[in-house]
Amino acid sequence: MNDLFIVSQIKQGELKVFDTLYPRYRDEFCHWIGKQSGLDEETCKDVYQQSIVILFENIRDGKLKELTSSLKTYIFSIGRNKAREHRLYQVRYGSTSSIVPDTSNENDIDHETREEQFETIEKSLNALVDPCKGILMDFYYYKKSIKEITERFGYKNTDSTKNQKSKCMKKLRSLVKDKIKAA
Amino acid sequence: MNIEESTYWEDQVIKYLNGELTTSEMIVLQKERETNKLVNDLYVLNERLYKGIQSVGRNELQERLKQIDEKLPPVQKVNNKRMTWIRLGMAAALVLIATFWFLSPNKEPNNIELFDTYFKPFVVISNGATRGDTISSNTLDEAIKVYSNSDYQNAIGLFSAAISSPNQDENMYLAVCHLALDQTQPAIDILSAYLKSNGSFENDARWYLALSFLKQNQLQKAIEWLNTVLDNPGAGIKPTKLKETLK
Repeated sequence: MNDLFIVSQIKQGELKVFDTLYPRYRDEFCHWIGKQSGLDEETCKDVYQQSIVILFENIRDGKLKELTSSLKTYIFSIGRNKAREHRLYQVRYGSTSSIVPDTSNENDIDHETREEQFETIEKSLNALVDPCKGILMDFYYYKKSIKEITERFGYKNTDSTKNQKSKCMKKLRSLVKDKIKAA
Repeated sequence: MNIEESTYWEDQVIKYLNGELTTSEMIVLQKERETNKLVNDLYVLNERLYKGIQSVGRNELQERLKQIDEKLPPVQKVNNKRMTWIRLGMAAALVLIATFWFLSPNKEPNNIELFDTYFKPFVVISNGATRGDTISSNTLDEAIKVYSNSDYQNAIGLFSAAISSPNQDENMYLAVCHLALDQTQPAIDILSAYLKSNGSFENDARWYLALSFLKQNQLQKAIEWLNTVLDNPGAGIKPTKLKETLK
C-alpha cells in the first residue's frame, strides 16, 4: 500500500486504512521521538495517535492536497511539533498528563470553560439516539456529502437526509441548552 | 426571525465554519451578525456545537487508533542492523568534516559563516488549528505554502497581510523570512514583540534572536540570548555548541 493510495483512501473516508498505516511507523516514531524529547512510551503513542488524527484532518480539509515528502516524513514532522507542544505544556502547567489539550481556539474562552463546554456537547451527542449521532458526526466531522449519508443510512432521497440532519441538530442544540441550564 | 430565515442563516453559519462561503457571503454574514442579535446568537451557538463535534470526532478517531494499538505488541526497538549502518555513516561523515576542517586555510569561522551553519528555517507544519477568520486563514495557508518553497520575499507580503497580533505563532515564520533575506532588524523587532506577548514557541524565538544578533556582529547580545535557550538538536537548536564556538 503506497503513500498516494493511503492518502486517497483517507480522502474517501475509508478509515480501515488506519489498520495498515498505524502499525507501519509506530515503533520507529516512538523510538525517534523518545530519543529526541525524552517522552515515555505511553506519551509517545499518544503523540503518534494525535499526529495521525491531524494527518486525517489535514487531508479531509484539503490542507494536504499533494505530498511533497513521504507520508512518514509528514507524520514525523507533525509529531515533532506535537511533542514540542507537549513539552511546553509540561513546562508551563507542570502537568504529567499525556494528553495535551488543543489550545488552538482560545482567544475568547479560557481552558476550563472550553473543556466544560466540550464535555457538555460530548455528553449531549452521546445522549442522541441513533442515527442522529452518526449523521451529525458523518456530516460535521468526517465531512461526508449528503448523498453519501443518504446511502449509508438508507434514506429515500437527499432531502429526507437534510431534514433528518436538521432535526438532529435541533435535538442536539436543545440537549446542550438543557444541560447548561441544569448546571 | 421566521423558520425559513433561521434555517437560511444557520446554513450560512455552517458553511462559514466549513470554509465554504465566498468572501462576499462572509461579509453579508458578518454584517448580519453585527445588526441582528438573533443571527449572532445562532452563530455563537453553532460555532460552539461545531467545535464540540470536532473535538468529539478527534477523540473518537484517537480512540479507534488506541484500539488498533491494543492489538499490537509493545513498541520494539528499531532494526539494529539499520542503526549500525546509520552510525557507521555518521562516523564516516564526521571524519570527512574533520578532515576538511583540518585542511581548511581559514579555520576561524566568521559570524556570517557561523550563522549560515546554524540557521535553519522554522519547521513548516500545520498543527490542524482551526482559525476563526477564513480570509486570513486562506492567506496564511498560502503564505506557509510560499514559505515552504523558500520564496521568502513573497511570504513576507502574505504573512504581513494575514497576521493580526504579535503573539500569533506565524510571526515566527515572518521573522525567519526576514532573517533568511539578511533583514536582521525587522526579524529582531518581530521576535522581541512575539516574546513580550508570550508566544508559544519561546525557545525557538530566543534562538532566532541570538542568531539575528550574531549576524549583526553583536556578539555580547547573541551570547546573552544564547544563555536563555535550551538545547533542542531535533529542531536544529544548538546553543551550547554555538556558545563553545563563539568562546
